[in-house]
Amino acid sequence: MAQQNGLSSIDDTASGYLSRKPSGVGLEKPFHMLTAAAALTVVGALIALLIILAIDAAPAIRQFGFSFLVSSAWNPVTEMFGAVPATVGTLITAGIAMLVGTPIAFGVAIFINEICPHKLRDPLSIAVELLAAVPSIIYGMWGLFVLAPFLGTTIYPFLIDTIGQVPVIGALFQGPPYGIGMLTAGLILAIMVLPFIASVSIRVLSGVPAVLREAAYGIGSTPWEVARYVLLPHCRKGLIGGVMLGLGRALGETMAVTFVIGNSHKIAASLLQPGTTISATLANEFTEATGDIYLSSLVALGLILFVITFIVLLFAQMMLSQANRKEAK
Amino acid sequence: MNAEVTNNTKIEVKNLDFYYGDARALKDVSISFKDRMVTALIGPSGCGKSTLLRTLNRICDLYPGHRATGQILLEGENILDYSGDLTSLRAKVGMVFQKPTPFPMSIYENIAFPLRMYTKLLQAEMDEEVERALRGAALWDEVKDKLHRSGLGLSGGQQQRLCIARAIAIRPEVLLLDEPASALDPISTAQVEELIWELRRDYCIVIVTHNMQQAARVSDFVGFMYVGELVEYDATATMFSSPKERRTQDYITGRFG
Repeated sequence: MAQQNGLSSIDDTASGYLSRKPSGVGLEKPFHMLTAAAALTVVGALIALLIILAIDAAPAIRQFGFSFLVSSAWNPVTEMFGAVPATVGTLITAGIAMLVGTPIAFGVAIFINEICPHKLRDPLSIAVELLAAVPSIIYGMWGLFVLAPFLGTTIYPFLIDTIGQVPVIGALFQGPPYGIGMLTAGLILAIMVLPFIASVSIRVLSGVPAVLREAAYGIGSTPWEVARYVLLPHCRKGLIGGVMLGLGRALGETMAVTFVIGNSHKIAASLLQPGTTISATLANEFTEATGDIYLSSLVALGLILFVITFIVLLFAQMMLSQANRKEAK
Repeated sequence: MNAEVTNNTKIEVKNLDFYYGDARALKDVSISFKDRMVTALIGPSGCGKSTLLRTLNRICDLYPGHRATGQILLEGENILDYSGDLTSLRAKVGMVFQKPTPFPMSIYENIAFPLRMYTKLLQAEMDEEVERALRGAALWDEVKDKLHRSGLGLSGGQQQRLCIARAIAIRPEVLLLDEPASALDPISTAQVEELIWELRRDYCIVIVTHNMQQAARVSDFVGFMYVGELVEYDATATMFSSPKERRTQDYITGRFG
């Protein structure tokens, strides 16, 4: 009886609210159009960018056709251009960056969230954010003046003498230890993507419901087991997002890579040798590109980079929806 | 009452004080939990009943700035003195939470995961143990055909029984239940309550609940807590028919809380 009374009084207030005229009436339409315009601007900019790239790349595509994608020639004098060296360099350096950077970033995030004393949490998180804020030119200079000479005089000679002598994989670690090269560029990129992945991971991990963590510790798991089997799988989606953000940066990063990769259009099997990436090629050669075909070839490279990042995003979306399906099952 | 307390006591809490930073969450609490009995902790929100529960397996260690003084004797051993190996304590004292907390893995793995931490079982033995735990939680018949699907795809009530199965898989001695049915619909609640009554034959069970009827239905003993203090503790029937304290009476008759 008492409950019934309570319900009817709630009903009264509800209808009281509804009969009042909302103050925002008449503003829905302009608001709707404003947000729609904002969304369309993004799509419009994307399409315009793609069209301009395609138009400017057209002469090169007409001249070389499909062979642009499979040719490793890059000769401004004979005007023969191919995308292979830059594309391969982009994929390899980004691959190294993800391979090295992702586990470290996850380690950082797990340490900050799960293991380190509570007082150290904020200072460490801020340090990670600061690392993300360092301009890429600084990484490039540091890579050229500090990291490359260091690697070239210590680590690389060691690698050449040891792994370099092993059959098959030894081919990846041969040749003179210049210091600059694909591996150095990959390592610089690893340092650069690390704070991105780590800071997303920290945020994702700190959003795990407290009871799930308590439940995992409550059955007697160690911090490693909690992180590996409960927290990371639980956060899968957010973590994939963080990794993709890092991969996006690794693929497109220009300045730091240009400093340390050596800018050579020869493809070397060894990771210790100079190479190039699409963005490094563009940065280096745009100003000196004489002739329409040369310039157009550079734009075509840009188009390829665009397509690669698009495929990466698509792939990320597929992984996410697969993760969703697995959960719903 | 003293005679009862000494009789088959599993956990004895003596003069327990607990602080979150400067906030004193438990004030000089002394209570005992008997083996093969259900003890319910009731009281308004913030009275410290969940905190008390979380000291019993030291899961409260996860909170920053916590501090506990006094004694919690699990079969005579003070668990507040455990320094290193909390995993073995937590293997003895299982816990189930208000919200179901299935791990992001298959139903089978949810049970096998804790088992693997403590035992080395052959595949056939593992299958047997998983079945035993799921049967123990009255979930086997519902999930036996989809053991390798994700535990997250189960209904809320099934997820909660999965969590109970996970807790009993490693054969604990004590089960801590933190409002295990408050997020469930009435049918699932009835199933979980029935299960608690079954499990009572094998474990020392401590249950925190907001629901007075539930406490009356499932428990042998009740402790009423208010602002960090244990106000009254007695056999369930006595507590609900003739409480000694005015505050207890007010609470169980719904005058506040």
